[in-house]
Amino acid sequence: MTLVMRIAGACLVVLAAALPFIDKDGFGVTVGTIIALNMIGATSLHLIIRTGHVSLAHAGFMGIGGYVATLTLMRLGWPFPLNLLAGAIAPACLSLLIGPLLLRLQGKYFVLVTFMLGEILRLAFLQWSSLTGGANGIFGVPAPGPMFSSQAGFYWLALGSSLLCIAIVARMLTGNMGRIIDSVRDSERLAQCAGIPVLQVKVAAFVLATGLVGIQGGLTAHYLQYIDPGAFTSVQSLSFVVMNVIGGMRSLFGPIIGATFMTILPELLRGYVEMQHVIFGLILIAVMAAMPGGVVDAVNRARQFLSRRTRGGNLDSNLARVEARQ
Amino acid sequence: MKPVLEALQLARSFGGVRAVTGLSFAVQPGEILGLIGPNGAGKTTVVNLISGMVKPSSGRVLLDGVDVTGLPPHRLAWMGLVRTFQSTTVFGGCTVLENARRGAFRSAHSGWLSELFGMPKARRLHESTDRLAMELLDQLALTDVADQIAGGLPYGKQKALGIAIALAARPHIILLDEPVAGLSSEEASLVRDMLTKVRNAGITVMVIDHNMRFIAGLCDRVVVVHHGQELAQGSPEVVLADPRVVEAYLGGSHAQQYQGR
Repeated sequence: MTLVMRIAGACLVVLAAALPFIDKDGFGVTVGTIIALNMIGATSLHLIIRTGHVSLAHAGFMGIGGYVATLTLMRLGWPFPLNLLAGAIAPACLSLLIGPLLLRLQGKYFVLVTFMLGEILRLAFLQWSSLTGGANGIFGVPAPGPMFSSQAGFYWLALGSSLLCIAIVARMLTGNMGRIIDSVRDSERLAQCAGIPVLQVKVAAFVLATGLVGIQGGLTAHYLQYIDPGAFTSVQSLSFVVMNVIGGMRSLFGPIIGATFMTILPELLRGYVEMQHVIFGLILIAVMAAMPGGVVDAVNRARQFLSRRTRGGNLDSNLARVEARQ
Repeated sequence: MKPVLEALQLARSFGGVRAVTGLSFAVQPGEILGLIGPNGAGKTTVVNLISGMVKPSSGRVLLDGVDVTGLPPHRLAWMGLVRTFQSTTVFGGCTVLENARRGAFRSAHSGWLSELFGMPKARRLHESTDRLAMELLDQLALTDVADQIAGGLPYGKQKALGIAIALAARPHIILLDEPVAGLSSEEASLVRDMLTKVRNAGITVMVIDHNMRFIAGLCDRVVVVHHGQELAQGSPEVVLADPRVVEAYLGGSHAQQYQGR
């Protein structure tokens, strides 16, 4: 990452943190909170996608996190950060159990089976009414302590959690860890023969990602003060995938951009009630057709196009870097 | 001398097809052993059995005298046995240099925790990985394409890069599955020179191929496989002149013509 990008990133974070002071009527803060929450799901799914698997059970794991966080708080009386932690550990434990089986499946078979897993989880939330309240859900989930009960306070909590999640995923995708994950995705056979325990790496990424999305589930329940199975359908899972596709699946910036885009766009279309879904669909199709590799890929192409004449290959700079280290 | 690698009565069937039936051989330290045989003799299955990609139905594999039968490939890589593949020899989507770095996972790995927290030890290792990767590219004449995307390289360069990836894991025995399949004779002789250098660097080499000229010019010893069994074993000159080997390759009637000449 270049210095310019670091500075730009830091500016964006400061700007995001200052949103409650800029935005007086509070609508921006509401949208900002939802964006921050969605970024957790999108970036954690990105970690799974980078190991070469598209999971359609992500909303299901988010649901487990949501219900566990809610129930440990309301039934068992666990205090706030502890119930959120339980909501992260529960889906992680489930994926640790089934991950080694699931992640042996390749490509479309993995997609199909995770889709079914997502449905099973949704049905479990719906039918296990003694625990989950069935289709009615659970009302009156209390706010997470006095500090985060105001709109701005909760926004900062969501933003902080989201940044933490992005930092964890970024750590996994850079340096030698990132190289390991990229190797696993590009060629399992070669990765194995280089000594990488492929299945273990995939399971670790899967467990970490489902744990993180569990936090989104818990925070969402706190935010809406309500939880029901309708929030954890395959449509929500698919939406996380679309966030990655729109933004770009090859870079962590992809799901960050995608989550922002996919949250703001429906809000902008609120004015056209009848046509909202049609326009939303058309814009998605247009974006996908114009930018098949997502926003990040389109930006990279544009930059390459602009700098083609001014810069040659950077082999020399690579060599120089290695020599300088010796 | 204790063999580096030993196969004892290896056997594997796929459904009703008996691909390998009771094959035994040993690879001595510092030698280049060739495993040859006509198409469908079970050569690739033998490599898959030894490298842990496929589990044997019966028989054992010993690596440095330790029973490693049925261990997964990544465990064997940590024990110093690395293989190359006939097809998909490189990570197609990244640069040549990055390919070599990925191959060096084993020497770059400083433990999962130190990796995660970016400890100084991890950083030092990454630097030595870069050095190792550049050295290997230099040895395999790939330095001038180090910055190119591996998937776009000519076939011969990809094969060489496949060997570089395997060597980056710092193995003490390397298994090559048809390293010269599809290469021109000039490219094949380049690969031969490379493998001789590899052996001279102290790494034991086992090569699988059906290109007789390549094998004869490279190997110290040859094992001939036919119908999943050993047909002959010995120095290339002796084995390749063996009428049974000629028959296996050319079929009975052609073999008589060949011998008549």
